[in-house]
Amino acid sequence: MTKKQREKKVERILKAYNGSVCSFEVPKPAKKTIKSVVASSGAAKTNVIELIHEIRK
Amino acid sequence: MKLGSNTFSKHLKTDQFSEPLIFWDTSFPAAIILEIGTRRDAAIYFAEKLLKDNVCIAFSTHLCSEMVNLIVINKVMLGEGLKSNKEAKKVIDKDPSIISSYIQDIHEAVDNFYGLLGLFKDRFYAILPTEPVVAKSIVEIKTKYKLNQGDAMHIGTMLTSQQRDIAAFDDDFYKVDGINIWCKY
Repeated sequence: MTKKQREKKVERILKAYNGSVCSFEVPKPAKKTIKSVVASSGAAKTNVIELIHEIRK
Repeated sequence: MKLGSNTFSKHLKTDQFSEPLIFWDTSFPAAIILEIGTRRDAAIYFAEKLLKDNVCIAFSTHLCSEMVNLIVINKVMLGEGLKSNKEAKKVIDKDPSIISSYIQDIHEAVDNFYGLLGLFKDRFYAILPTEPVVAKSIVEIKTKYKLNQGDAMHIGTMLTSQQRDIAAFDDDFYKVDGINIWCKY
């Protein structure tokens, strides 16, 4: 799939949402990799699936 | 890698993700921000691939509120030395002021979540579940597959545009026919 084809496909998908697509401002991090961006999040031994089930009950 | 598979990492190394857009369930960024272990490693590996391949991401705005909620519960659980998230939720419900002791940690994790989105700047789309077509899809999916409201928000939003690719770790999504769950590790 070429870049143009991809862009057209995304455009078509987003059109399906009518006016529901929104954007908000997030700063682009100076760091380039995901590991470096999230390094200080305090990730710990936890189970996010249990946690999600807990809040979605 | 598709529905029902548990060999995500192995396949991802040889497959090319050709879709221009993928949805995110909250479990995906949550694994990156809150966990340590193989699930987190798989999520980071996959997210880096999405970045490298210039794949756009989309998600229900509900994801952002769920993320903040998860972060708060998790930080209180860790800070208070509680055994489970369930216990932490009970403690918070009883006395929400307990959160104030962990504000700095919470803010840091929230910043990291938005930093993660920032890496996809100009290539992420947040979908409001308020447009009638999205709202109807959510109700339909919830009823059809007996999903809880949170799951239905994500799946219903995705299926509104006939998209079928979602990055998720939530096993409940397997109830839904014909969707491609990426990042099952």
